[in-house]
Amino acid sequence: MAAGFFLGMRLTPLDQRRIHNFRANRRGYWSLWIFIAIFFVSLFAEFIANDKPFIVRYDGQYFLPVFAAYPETDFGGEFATEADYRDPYVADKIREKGWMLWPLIPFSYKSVSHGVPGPFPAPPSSIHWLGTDDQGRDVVARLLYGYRISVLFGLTLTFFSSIFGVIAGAVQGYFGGLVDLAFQRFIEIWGSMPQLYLLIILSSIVQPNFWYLLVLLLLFSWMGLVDVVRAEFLRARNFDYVRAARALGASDTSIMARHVFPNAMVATLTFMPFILSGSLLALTSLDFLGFGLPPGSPSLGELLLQARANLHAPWLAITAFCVLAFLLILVIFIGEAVRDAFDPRKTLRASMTTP
Amino acid sequence: MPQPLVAIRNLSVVFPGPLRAVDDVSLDIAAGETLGVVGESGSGKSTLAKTIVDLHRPTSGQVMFEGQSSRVLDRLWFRRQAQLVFQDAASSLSPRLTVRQLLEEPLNIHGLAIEEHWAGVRHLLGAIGLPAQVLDKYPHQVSGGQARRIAIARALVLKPRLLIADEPTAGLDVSIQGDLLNLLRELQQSFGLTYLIVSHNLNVIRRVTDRVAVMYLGKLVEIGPTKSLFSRPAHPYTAALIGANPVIDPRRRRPRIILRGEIPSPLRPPPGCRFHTRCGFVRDRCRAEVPPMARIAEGRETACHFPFVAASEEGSAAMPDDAGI
Repeated sequence: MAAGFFLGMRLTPLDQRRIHNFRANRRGYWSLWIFIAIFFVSLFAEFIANDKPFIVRYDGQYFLPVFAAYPETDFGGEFATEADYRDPYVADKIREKGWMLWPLIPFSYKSVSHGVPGPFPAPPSSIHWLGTDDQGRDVVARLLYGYRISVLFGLTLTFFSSIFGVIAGAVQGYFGGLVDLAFQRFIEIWGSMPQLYLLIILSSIVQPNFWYLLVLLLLFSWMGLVDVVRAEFLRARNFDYVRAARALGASDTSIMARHVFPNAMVATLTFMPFILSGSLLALTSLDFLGFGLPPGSPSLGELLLQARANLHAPWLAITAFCVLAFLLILVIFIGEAVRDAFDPRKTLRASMTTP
Repeated sequence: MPQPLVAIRNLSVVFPGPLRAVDDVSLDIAAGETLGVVGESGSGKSTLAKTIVDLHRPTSGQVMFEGQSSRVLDRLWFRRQAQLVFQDAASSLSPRLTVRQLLEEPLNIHGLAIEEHWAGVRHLLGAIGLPAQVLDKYPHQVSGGQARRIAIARALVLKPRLLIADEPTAGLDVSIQGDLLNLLRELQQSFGLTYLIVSHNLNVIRRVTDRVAVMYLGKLVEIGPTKSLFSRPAHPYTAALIGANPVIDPRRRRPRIILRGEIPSPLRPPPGCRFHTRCGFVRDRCRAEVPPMARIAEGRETACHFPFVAASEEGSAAMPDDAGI
């Protein structure tokens, strides 16, 4: 491993060995790339699954319906409302004087299919690769958008949980004594509350949106990291280099951030993928119970709910199950690889075999 | 007498237990001198050192810097005056910072511009004998002697007036010990430093200090100029300590006072004189009455009812007068 740099940062030999260990876990390494690739693709969901064309060429002019709303009258229609490009009337009007380029999947998560005969949910066909749900919405499109919102939600929740968890653990461990005692008792009480019921109650008071749900789940998820971070800080507070920093006059916050936190970093990073999988699962459960994202939002939990309500349409259940299982397995594999990477015993072994 | 740089007055540090790690210690450190503190493990030497730099809060009494209590002084100003080099220098360096970052840190903490002061740091590195290559290394990549030099350099970056070294030679090769002691002496001359050196290595103390303070179970038992204290110890404990120090030259061997038993638990210190359980010269008064620090000769004080060096006849003949050890 000659590369001494990663994303422009100079790496210590230890970090190089960690990256090496991470790569050595092929399963986790590939899981990470697959996870990133799908997430990256889903970030551009509007360009892949949408009920509006990318580009409309009409009467010598270009239109970009993905970015702007054009009234039907622009294309020779009758109403001043936004054009429905899938409406045969509008489509014919545009084709008379130009052309339009459609995304791969010509449905967005909320567009109701017109062209499918028979009742919804419609089975998989060449138009709807994984069929439609009971409101005639394309399952592939909903999966793509649902994956995006789930992962975004999971990452945001993991990010904030980590920040709050690390701060709470750091304060407890570093100051110890009464602060620690009081905080630990508080966490014991807080943690012994029936979380799911509380979340259901809280989310039934207000119609939750993305951020409201985030705060709601954050109420409990921050506790995941507290114990490990607290233990690291408790151990490190009596290290000589922490005392030395204090003797130099460093403030408590700067000692915590600069001298102690790097020790807790390993524990934090190792925990993060598992927090992520927990977050994904929490959001899915709430969605499944109908207390999650607002109705109509694409989500994995909502698909599971539809699957339960429509057992005669097994493609819903199979799809939801496979995607959810696949996503969680990816995250767990990544977590295992991260854990391997930071495992001091493995690091040591690697250092002995590769001098 | 001119005002001492540091005046310690009736200082006690009690840890939960209650463990009286430092018990009613008073001493002065004059500007420019080197004061040694000796004693067995658990005698409170390190706690005293750490309390002076405010790492431990005194339970009672105070540490005064130029006549002002360290607890009322501006915290950062005080930190710039007194610095501590830890016993285990390598572990006092943050493992995830490079040596350069470690040396810049004191400047950052005190809001001093690095560009402005870096030349001084480089000069310091030269004086301490650290090569520039060491700057980009991590603490675990340098040797024990270098780690100690780095710790000293970091302590000196802020140009303190008092440098406290806790066991500066522990864990080093004898040859490197010698280098380090010479270095400390040179630094003292070029930077006008005052030293407090904590050690249980009597040879080190004897070689580098001007005055010595002897501690036993958290109490100061004797203090005086190094030379006269080593040649004519007044307190039986000092005598035992000095006698226990191996002397290579057989002609210079002196009769030894063998101490029986272990140092008593500081959780339950004996009443009266703390040393009476192990003292070979113990009398009834020692068991009942705590001896106060008393002046016995010019610049010498001891806390013993029956000191060897005294105006009175009692006990003074117990130790032969021997110039060397």
